[in-house]
Amino acid sequence: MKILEALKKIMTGEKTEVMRVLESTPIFSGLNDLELKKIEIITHEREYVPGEIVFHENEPGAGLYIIRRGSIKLTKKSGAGEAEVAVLKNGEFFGELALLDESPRSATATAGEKTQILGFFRPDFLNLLSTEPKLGAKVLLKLSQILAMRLRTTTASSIKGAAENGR
Amino acid sequence: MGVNRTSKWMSWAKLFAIYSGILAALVIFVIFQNVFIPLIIAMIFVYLLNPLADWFESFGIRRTLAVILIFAGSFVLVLGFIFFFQSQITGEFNTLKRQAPVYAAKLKQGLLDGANALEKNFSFIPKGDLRKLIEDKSSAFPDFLAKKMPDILAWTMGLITSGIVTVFAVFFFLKDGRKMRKSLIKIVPNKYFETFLVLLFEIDQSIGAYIRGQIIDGAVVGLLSIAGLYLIGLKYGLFIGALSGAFNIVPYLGPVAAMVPAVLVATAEHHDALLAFKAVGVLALVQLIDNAVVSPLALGKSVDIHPLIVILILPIGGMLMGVWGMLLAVPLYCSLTVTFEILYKGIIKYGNWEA
Repeated sequence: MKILEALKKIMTGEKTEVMRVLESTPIFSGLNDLELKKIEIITHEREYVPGEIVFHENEPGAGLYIIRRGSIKLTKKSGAGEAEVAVLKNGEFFGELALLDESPRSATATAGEKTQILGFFRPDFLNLLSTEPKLGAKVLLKLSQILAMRLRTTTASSIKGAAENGR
Repeated sequence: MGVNRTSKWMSWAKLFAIYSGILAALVIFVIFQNVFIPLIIAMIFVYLLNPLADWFESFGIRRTLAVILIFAGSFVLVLGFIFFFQSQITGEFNTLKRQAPVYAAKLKQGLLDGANALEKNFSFIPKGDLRKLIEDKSSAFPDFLAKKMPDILAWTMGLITSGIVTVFAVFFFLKDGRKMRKSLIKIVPNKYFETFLVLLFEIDQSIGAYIRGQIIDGAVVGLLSIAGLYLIGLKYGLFIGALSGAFNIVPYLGPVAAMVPAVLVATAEHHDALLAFKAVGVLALVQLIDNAVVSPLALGKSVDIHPLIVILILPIGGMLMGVWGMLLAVPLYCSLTVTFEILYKGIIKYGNWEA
């Protein structure tokens, strides 16, 4: 068993901080060290200053972002101003829909403080699906589960809303 | 409205500035092409071997080890090929060496006959001048060769140096290419980063698919030509077939160029006009199979450009960079179109780069 562990370490190296961040993100949870390493290779580390915009609402998106350190404020245009939708903290992710298509971003993402984020982008994801179909399918399944869960919540709230309106 | 119009103009100005930059880079590339050519050859090998390195890596083997394995494997493969085809290659080479002076004499005789015919038919050509010119030039050839020997040696040394540079470049690009790409992306400002990433991916996809497709296509054409020429019994079938596979990389012109040595050998060596027709027929049939079956499978949609554009850009490439220009014309054109499409979308259509 020890030999196996040692061999694994030689093959994949030590678990890095980025791998730990990825591991704690729902979309990559359940992946083994080797798989996490492969994801780490294709993620991009970016740093934003307070107030810097990560992406604008309605811009075509290229991928998903995971907050490594710091916070991101999501806002949506409403009437003349901007309405805050959410504030995301360490370990949370946003922009996952852009992994599937070039659809416009649904909100503007702005760094609340000095923020480090990890980007996982559609081109690399598509590449992963063709070069590593097994790993790609695992990530795709997780992504689908997250989206299905959101859809259920949205459906439930719209049914509730319709019922309340009908009353 | 005025602000909107100004920002639209600014976007167009940005796109124009980027395109001017790309054009300037291309000019530098053409001027210093000798420096870049070993790197281009290296990139071709990298594109070809990258999927193999990725495949090794998918089993958990580290990148460096995967690349070392590929290099060792290629070395064994080349040695094996030489060992396996040694007798065939030396055989054809020796025949060619033996026949070269005979060909030279035949060529000289052919030129002299031509000169005779010209002198006979056109009275304004002074008698004996053309013959004398041919005699002088052909007897001066060994001297010319001896005089040029230092240049030939320097050229050979240059070739060896370029070869070594290429091998090292292939090793490092294959091993650290991804890291280099990541470092390059890292220095791009946050604002332009997503567009740049998509751009890099699309260019990579288009060039990668083109190179891999062309190599597979060329290999199949080469093998089919060798088999066909062997069946009709043409001498040097192995060489001419392999040449036809290699020439196939240059669209339209390559396949025709490969027919020339086939016809020359059939007429000069076999003295058989029918065989020359057969050889052209075989190579044309291979082209037909290639265009109908092999090429669509190997290249797919990677070179979805109009034949007229190909015919237009090939001579431009050839004029600027010779054979290399003709090889690079199509992938370079594809990359430039993809770049324009993505930058247009990013800067003009979606206005991603507005302040």
